Order: sequence, then structure tokens, then C-alpha cells
Amino acid sequence: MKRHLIPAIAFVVALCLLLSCSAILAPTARENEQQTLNWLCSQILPGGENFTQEAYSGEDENIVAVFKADEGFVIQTRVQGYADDIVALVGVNTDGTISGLVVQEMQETLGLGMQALSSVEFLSQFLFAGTSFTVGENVDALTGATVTSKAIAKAVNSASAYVTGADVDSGATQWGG
Amino acid sequence: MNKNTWLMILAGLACLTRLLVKTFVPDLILPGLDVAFVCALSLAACLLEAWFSRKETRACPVWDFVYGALAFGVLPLACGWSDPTLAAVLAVAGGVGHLILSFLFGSLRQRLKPGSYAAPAAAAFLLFLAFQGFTGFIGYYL
Repeated sequence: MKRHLIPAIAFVVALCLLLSCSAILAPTARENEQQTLNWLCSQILPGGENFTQEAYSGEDENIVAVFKADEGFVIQTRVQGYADDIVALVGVNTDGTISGLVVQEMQETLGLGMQALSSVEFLSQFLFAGTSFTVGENVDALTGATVTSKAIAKAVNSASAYVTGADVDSGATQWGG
Repeated sequence: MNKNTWLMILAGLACLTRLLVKTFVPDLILPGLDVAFVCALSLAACLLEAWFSRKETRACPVWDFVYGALAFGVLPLACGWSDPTLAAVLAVAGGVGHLILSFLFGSLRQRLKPGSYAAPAAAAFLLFLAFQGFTGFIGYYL
């Protein structure tokens, strides 16, 4: 009986601790998340201030949220990567060119797809380089991470198309290059 | 303490750590809730029991499954790490994973010298690698 009572007590203690901490920290978490989002938006859309969130009612399933500023838009996208969804913020000027790009969440393969987080060589290909991107044509994929690279390109295309109004093929990311 | 108690402690600490990190450093990318997480925590719990328990506790598969389901389904939901759908999936996967890993590690432990620290650690590490390979194999064909 004691063998089963102690783990049960440990579970109840852990559960109560997590629920209470979650409730207490929720306002702080929301505030910090908003501050971080504002900072990221100002970084990827230089000169952008006073971002206001716009409702998105379009058909592009890759677009999660739209933030508007005088200089352009910051669009939050969610696309299917290799292992899990990739959430990215894309700064788009009013002419549809990309002013900045940051990956917020990803769970891709370490050393391969995860390079999309920090590879300046890969990410800089999208900056001020047009409004449509295709891996293998005007974008070089990360070595060993073609699916991740295509997912990032898809996110950027969706963001740019929101501003320019172009049609976007929202088909599933192709596996295997 | 038996492995299920250690599992609750480790899962609680992992969830609390994630909660604190996401509160104060929200842009930090953390490992996700996946099979690797289940394997790592389950094997760590088994290893801690092997190191710190005087005698091996009698295996009880039903309770292993139940505590695995609670640790991986309920605790992440409590800290906001998962949603109800994912919690249900994790509860089943976590329960089954903890049950299998407990059985396998227990079988290995019976063949190891009592009181050793390195051998159980090596066994746990190799089991973790084996499960990583196995899930990759399953993922490829699914």
C-alpha cells in the first residue's frame, strides 16, 4: 500500500505546485510574451512602430496572425516542417519584399534543420530579394534539410503574398527534395 | 523511493522548469513533448531507483502504466505545455512507454552487479539510444 501511496502523493504535490505556479505566473508570462513580440516585430521591420493586430480572414492556412505598422506588416506563420510545425515571424515591406525573418518555434533535426534558426547565409537569401521564393531556383537549401528549407520558403511566400495579393499554392510541403 | 515516485518528481521539475523559462524568457526554444522526452524521464527514474533504492521493488505493470500516463499526460497539461488532445495522446504513449522501459530496464538490472553505478547508467543510455532509433524507424515507415 505504501509503495503506491508515495507516488500518488508526489503526483498530487506536483500537480498542485504546477497549477498554482501557472496561475500566479500567467499575467507575467503574457506581459513578457507581448514585450518580446513587440521587440521582435521592431527588429524585423526596421522603423516599424505601433504595431496593431489585424484580423485575418483569408484562406491561407499558413498565416496565424498579422501585425500592421506604417512601414509594412509583420506576419506570423505556421507551416509543417520535417518533425513538427515551424512558427516564424516575417517582416514584409509594403512592396512585398522581405525586411526580416525570425523563427520563433521549431523542433527540427539538430545540426540539420535546426540551422534554420541561426544560419545567416540561409536566412539572408530572403531579404530584399523579391517576393517569391523557390528552393532550388532562387533559394539554396540548407544541406541535409531540404524539407525544412522548403517550409521556411513557404512561410515567406505566404507572408509576401498577403501583402502583394498574389496567389499562393498552399499544398503540403514535398518530402525528399 | 521507487521509480514511479522519481518519475513524478522528474516530470514535475521538467514541467516547472519549462513554465519558468517560458514565463521569463519566452523566445527561448525548448525541446518538445515527444518520445525522446518520455524515454529520457522514464529511464532517468529507473536509473535513480537503481542507484538509491536498497532493494529492487516488485514490478507492477498496471501501476507503471497509470503513473506514466499521469506524469506525461496530466502534469504537462497542468503547466500549459500541452492541450487536452495532445495530453490524451501523451497519456497513452507515456504510459505504454514507461511500462515498456521499466520492464526492459528491470530485466537488464537483474543481470547487473548490485551496488554498481556505471553499469545501470550505461544500460539506461543504451536503451535511450535504442528507443531513439526505433521511433525514427517507425516514423519513417508511417
